[in-house]
Amino acid sequence: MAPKILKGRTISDGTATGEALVSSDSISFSGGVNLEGVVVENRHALEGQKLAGKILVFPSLKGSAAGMWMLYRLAAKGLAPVALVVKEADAILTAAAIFGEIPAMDHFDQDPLTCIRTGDSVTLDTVSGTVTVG
Amino acid sequence: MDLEKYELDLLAGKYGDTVKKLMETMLRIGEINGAKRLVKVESVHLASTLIYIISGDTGMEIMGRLAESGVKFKAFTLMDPVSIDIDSWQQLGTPPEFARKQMIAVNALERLGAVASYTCTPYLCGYSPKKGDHLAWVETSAVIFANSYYGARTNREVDVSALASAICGKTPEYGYHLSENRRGTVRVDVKAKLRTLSDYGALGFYLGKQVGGGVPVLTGIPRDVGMDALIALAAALATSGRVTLFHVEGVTPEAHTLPEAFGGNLPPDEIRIGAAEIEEAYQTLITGKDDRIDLVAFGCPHASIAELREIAELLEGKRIHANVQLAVFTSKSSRVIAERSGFVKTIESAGGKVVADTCMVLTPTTYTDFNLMATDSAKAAYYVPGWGVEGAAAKTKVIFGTKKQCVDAAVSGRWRF
Repeated sequence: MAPKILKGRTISDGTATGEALVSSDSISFSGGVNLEGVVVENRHALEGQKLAGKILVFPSLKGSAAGMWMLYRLAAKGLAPVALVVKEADAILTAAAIFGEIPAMDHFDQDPLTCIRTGDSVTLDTVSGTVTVG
Repeated sequence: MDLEKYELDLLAGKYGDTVKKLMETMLRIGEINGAKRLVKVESVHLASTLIYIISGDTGMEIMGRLAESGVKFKAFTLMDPVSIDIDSWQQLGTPPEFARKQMIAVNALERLGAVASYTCTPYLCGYSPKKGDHLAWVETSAVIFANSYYGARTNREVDVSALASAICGKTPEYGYHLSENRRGTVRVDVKAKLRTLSDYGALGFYLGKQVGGGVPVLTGIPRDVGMDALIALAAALATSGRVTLFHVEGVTPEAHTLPEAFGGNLPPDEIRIGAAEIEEAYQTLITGKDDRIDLVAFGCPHASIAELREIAELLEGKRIHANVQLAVFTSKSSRVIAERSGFVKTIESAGGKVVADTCMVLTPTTYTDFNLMATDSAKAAYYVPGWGVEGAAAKTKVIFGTKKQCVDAAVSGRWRF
């Protein structure tokens, strides 16, 4: 099967390949994710899942602006996702991605939440402006 | 974007790499969001005081470099809470090393020119914006409140961009700075009877999840709704969603009428909020199953004078159970007025504490000493269980209810479900 290619907008420069972890819910990195980078929010779609090393696919960030510092901290400790594929990035997520040096893209030509499934092999490349699935 | 000489100097690294990176990030965020220019801000509200507790030494390095860069804040800059009571941390048992590290950030920010406000409710202690003012605020509960209640204009800023705004005095003009983005996107018909601040918090928590980043317009809220209730609603909307602005028909300044709130076109979309939706929010936020509470915490956002008075009245002549601690978190200025009004004495006589500058989410003791916290704040109920801090993994579970339920539980030692 030919790989799927999504075109999007670059939020934070870089290239990364990894296994997708797809969340139907928005994520709060403060409160919703603990110091080990595990989602702890009650009744969250990813409750109990570890973010480290994954390509995180999710609709948007929610909650506190302190989420920027938490994501930055997780990135510094190697506990953050290796790339962010997000439908709509806000200022908080953009700043966290740039400061944490996590490649990130948003505004895709297709819905990443339906095109990508948890476990898919995904490559995000901001040079070509694409996310390749499979 | 056209930049002035000083802004170009900041961007060129004349004040060091940290300032350069802050400016680059602010401009990048502006560009991504289609900003065509920078606008002057009337004030900045920073949460950089949280850097230590959230990001540990990783973020503190940035503060240190900034303090030594030689820049001064050009904008009038207020600060979010810190993780200690600055004047009373010793009496409250804060570990000295923790306080010392927090004070490094405090001193750095004050050296840069920040006002020592240390509250998430700056509008309750000396600074409220006016309609149409451009701001660059970070604290999400204050952002939504400034936009909705005062009609001021700020995006949900993040520290690194707001630090750049504090330094250069401007913010990129996009999003909620522009009238066309301030119109309602979804109509919310509130049928539920809301009696307490926790009910308004529950409404906000339920609704924030539904509308995500939209601009909800609420109908069915009584015209005489109090400021404290709207603060609770605002804080919760910004917790479960990323709501930056909401309108309340007949109450908030950009929604005298429904057509005004929606800019003429009434959308067909309607969310109905009944008793079941409010109850669902309560159940989502209650993570504790036991009834033996050991902490009751009020003041997220920081308790107003009216709340301090209500808590004092509920505690009048009572004694808090030996196994329970009760703390009310507030701003320094509200604490001073509450002290003079006798509220602090009443709360302390019952065995409670009134703590300034910090809150239950940010103090290290919350996580090391307590198993089950009761609160009437939807925002605190969400953040406390998940927010592990420096040196301690989060373990505190939460029960969310009314102030009266919380005080009754503080006195008896048990929560009545």
